[in-house]
Amino acid sequence: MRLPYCFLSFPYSVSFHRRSGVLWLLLLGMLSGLPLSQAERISEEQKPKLTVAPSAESLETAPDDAVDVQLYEGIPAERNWKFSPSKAARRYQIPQFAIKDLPKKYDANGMIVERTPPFLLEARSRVDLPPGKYELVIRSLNSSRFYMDDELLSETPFMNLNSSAHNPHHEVGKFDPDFLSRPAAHFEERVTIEIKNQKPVFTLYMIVGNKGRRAEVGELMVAIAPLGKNFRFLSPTESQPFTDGAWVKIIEQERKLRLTLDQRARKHRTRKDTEYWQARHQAIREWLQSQPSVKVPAATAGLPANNAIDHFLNATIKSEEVQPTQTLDDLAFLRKLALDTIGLVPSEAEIKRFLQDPPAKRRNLAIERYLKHPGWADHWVGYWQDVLAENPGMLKPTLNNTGPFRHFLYESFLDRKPFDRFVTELIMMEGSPYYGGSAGFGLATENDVPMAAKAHVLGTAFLAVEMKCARCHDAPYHDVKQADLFSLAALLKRGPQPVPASSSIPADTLSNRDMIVQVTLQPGSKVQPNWPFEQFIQPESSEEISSELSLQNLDNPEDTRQQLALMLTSPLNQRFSQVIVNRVWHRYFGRGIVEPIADWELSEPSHPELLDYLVREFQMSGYDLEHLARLVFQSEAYQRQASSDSKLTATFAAPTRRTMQAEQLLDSLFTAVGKTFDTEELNLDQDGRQKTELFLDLGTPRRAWGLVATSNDRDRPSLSLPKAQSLVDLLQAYGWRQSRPDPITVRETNPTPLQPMALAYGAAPNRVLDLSDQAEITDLCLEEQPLEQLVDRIFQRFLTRPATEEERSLFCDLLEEGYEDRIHSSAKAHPVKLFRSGTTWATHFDEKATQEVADYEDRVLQGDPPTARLNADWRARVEDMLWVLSNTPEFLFLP
Amino acid sequence: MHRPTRRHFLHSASAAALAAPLGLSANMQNPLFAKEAASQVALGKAEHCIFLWLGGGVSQIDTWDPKRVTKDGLKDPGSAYPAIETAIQGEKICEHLSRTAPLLDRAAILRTVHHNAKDEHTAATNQMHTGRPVSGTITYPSLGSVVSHLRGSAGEGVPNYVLMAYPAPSRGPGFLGAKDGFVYLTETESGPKSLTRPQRVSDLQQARRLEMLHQMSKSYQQRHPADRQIENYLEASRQGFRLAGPEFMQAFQLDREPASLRESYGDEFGQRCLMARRLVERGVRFVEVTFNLNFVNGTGWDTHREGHHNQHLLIQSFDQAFSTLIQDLEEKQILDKTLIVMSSEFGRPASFDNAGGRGHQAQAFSVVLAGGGLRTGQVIGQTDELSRNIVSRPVSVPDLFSTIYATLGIPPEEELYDVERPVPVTDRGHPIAELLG
Repeated sequence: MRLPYCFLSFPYSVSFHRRSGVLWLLLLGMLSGLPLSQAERISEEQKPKLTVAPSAESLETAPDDAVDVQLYEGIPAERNWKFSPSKAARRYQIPQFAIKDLPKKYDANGMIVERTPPFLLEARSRVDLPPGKYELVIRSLNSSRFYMDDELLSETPFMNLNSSAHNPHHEVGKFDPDFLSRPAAHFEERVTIEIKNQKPVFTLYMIVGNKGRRAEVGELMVAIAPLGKNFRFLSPTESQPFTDGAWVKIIEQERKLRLTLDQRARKHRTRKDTEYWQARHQAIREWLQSQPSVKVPAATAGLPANNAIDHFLNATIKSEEVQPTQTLDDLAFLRKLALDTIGLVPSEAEIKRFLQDPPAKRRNLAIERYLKHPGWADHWVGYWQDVLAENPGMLKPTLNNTGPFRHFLYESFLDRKPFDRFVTELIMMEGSPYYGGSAGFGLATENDVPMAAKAHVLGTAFLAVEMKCARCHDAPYHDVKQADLFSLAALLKRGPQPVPASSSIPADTLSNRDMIVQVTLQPGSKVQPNWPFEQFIQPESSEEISSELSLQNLDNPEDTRQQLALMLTSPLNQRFSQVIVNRVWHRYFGRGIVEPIADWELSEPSHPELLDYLVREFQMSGYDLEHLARLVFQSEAYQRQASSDSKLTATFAAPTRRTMQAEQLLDSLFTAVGKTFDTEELNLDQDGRQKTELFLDLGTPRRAWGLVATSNDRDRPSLSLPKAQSLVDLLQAYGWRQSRPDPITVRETNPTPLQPMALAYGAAPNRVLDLSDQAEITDLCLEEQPLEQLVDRIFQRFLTRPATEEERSLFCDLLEEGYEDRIHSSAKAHPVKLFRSGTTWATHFDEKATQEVADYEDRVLQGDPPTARLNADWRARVEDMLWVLSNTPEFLFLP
Repeated sequence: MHRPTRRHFLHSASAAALAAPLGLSANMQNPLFAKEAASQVALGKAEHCIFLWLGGGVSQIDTWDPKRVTKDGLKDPGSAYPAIETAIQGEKICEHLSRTAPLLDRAAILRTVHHNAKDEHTAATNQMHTGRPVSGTITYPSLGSVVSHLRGSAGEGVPNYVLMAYPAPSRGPGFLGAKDGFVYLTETESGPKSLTRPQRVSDLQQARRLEMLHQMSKSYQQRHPADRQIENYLEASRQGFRLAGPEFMQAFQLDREPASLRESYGDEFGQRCLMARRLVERGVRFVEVTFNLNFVNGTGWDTHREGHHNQHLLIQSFDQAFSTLIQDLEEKQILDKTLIVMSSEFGRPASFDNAGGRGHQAQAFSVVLAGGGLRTGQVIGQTDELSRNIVSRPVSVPDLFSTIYATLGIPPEEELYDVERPVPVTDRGHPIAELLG
């Protein structure tokens, strides 16, 4: 039997340093042989001891080439270690004892679900250390135990759960180039060990989260140092220094690892689902083959055509007698393509690769590369956040807020989910509402009829039926009654949907004779679940196609959400496919075949046969957006120069002139300068004391879509996130919405004077342009090369083309002076310095919090620290050049 | 194949009515909703509004609606401080508002404002900025955006709406769109965001940048002749740089004011009020000024627990700024055309929490209006002996908003347009007739 506190077979001397801790005194008491009482001793012997400690088997199987992590769920909610974990729910391996975030948990539909806190995390590894004395540092947010073989070396206490905002400010460590700065609210323990000739197994346990609170891992880690030497992260293989810089790298490696692990997990979990959809799409293909196909017109003389799209368009271009614009040159095409697929300007490497391909093939090769790029998912998220009104609130959300189903969106597009499957999963509203499942779509805080709000969203998004007015009365200009919206809401609600008085118009308003608004549903009445749009599809009709599309064959035929999903996504519901095809078309041409995009009540398609053709292509491809995008990108029509002339754009003789969307602009700035997206962690509960439904952790985004309203409606300086706010300011100026209570498809893009100024003088863009040691352009400037080449390369990064003669001389003139002596060879890159804040929701009323954030805000306003490796005056002139290139309209407007 | 169809589009009953409004432009009358009979109150003539936002929830019983003083500040409910006489006969306010008290004839206290938004700052703040509960189908514009939209510009080369606060969604233009948004700053030192050049960029550098940008833009424009969108953007850019130029930026330079005046405005909140006056003088329609000096007592106006202990310092600081603002506007002869509003998301109860602070109370709280050509020197509405419940003359949030609009010459029945959908400026509010001529 193992006795965790028995140190009889003590192979090495252990001494303990401690910062604080009654627990340690207790432990020491035990070490020094304080006797247990008689009663305690008996119960100790009679009951099998429940505790958490490495078993003999665990010690034997611990890997010596990685740290093995296992997660045990379903542990008792009491805050103690009196339990024995059973089977691990998840297992994976990492390079060192250092964890920031965990891989996600998924259900059988690949939907993100919550790991109910508390759960146990175990990390173990056999580490070969040269003999000698070592000091270890253990950091944990909540209670942890750290073992060397079967010896308990350290234990951290259970975290404070006082969630009030009146707690004292957390102390955080100061910056030290050789010792990782300390985050808020973490416990830190130090122990000294002596290694003789054994290869010990280290095991670290942590109890993550607390019942009803957010499951916050914090920063869990162990570092080790031979006495008197610098600490490094404890690892069987890698030896990363215990510094801010290394920790930033480790977090990034972990993020990449989690992406892979999560994707693999989803693939594995959804095998059965995938089979169903494959069979369904096969059946649809067979059915379509029995239907008449759409005839593609013959080529039009004198007008170039790359594919069927051009055949359809050229016919009208000819008959309308308009002159199409010129075909874009190769690099302009590449720029437009990259922005439309991955939302970024092309990198130097991408440009180089493109130019190496044979001219005749390079466009199509580039299309394939970008379609397969993971950035494809990033670029779609922002779009659907608008259309589906994704509206998470970080802090006590009460403004018609949803959950952060951005993660569901991102993963759906990353996994290239067929679109009908994506919509079905959205409508099912499953998984975790607060951690990113589609259940988050189902939330609408403080909304009197959440499901009516969702029905409205689905109507505009997937049927182009605008039911905004029908929320409270029959729509006067639309053929929609309030009952239609509410019957759709009832399908989502899985039962009768009552109409509250707050969703109606007061009777006294209606008495007026001039009133053309009608209320045919009385407040208090209940609307039954019912498919209201029989003009699009009859409920039973899909079963003609195949059994996969039969209402009777749903997992649960009684489930009205499943019924609704089927009715929406059935191939017989042509309207659904038409709307999606039109959305994709609009996105790439800046104008729809049907306008407006989200409301077709009074609209007719400009090119009905083309729409039919694309619908069939979409359905044949298995509802694949990528396929539609490929057809568009390959067409000559897409590859022509844009125009603002409506005579040209109405016939698609030219694509409509577009500017970058807000996210493209911000992400492209970071890409052009070569910096990592930089913001504070979007989480006001870093000490994990708050309730899950009141505070969201939106993490540290890597792309603009990951941002969120900074939510400082309270005007509390201590709650401000200055970097995030400055990014939000830029995005908002260019049409992004920090609050998305209602769905929109087309953002407002008319420029106000503040729009160009947000780019010219805004804190965020100027910070991005600062040549710090973390910018690729800084490295570019340090390379030995002719000045002309440097100018051309910077041009490529910003404008995807070399400079013209005139431009080259303009910028060479600017940079020539001091170019030869620009490098300070003795200077070193500044070490990476993390911003550590002791301010969380739980401490933000402390005056130190206000002071800390105010100081930080000042520092942020000063910009990123400039590199010392370049002459300051010359560096400032390069920054001038970057400013000019990012503020010229050529950067913003797509070719 | 199916086409987008118009299923029996025109219902017979509404067909005739439908035909006309569809083509209406946004600013034309629309018979969609029955309008209430035109309001009986005369519209005010105020041109500007300074909206003082005391976020957190001002304790009305400790400020504008004093009641009996608590014996122990813990178990015995009541005001925390004694009350003093004011320029309005028979009406008292808290002793820490001693500078405002003799000027109260220039103001009106609304003691019965109330709402039933969720007991949460964000929801209540949203309601007290938009005048409505949150909706999932439409994003309502804030007061400042509505005023900007309907009253337009009052001066050359200045924005309509300036915000000195964090730019939360509740303060935004909602469906009105970016043109009715705000220019914002969070404190008076570092200037308005996006209009203030980063300090690390020197004048020389900026001149160099603009010269090169001009060349690049010109050549881009030449390569894309007569492109309307590019022209619009470049025009917006020219306007933007003008806005960021010295003329308007001077409004933010408080050191151009006499030192004695700056001193009498007091701390950072006072300086913001002074800046608001400078902005109004230059033609800015609407200025929201937040009082968020939370370091004074920890919690700002959200005086739970220990936050209550230094509440009197907040009140004194407000008193100093508010009284100076009234006098300064009067002296500059712009008080009559400038409506000052002091508002908050809710009030606080007479009873105390277990640390001697106060919770939230939305069923009765005070808002103060001053200047604006109103019939000031009045108290509107009465609460019970502990300011818990309304006794007479309740003022709903829509009533409050329509009063503010009416003071600024905006008819309460005015409609805004979310594309073609008409939205009345308030949710059937009635202006307080006693205040308007």
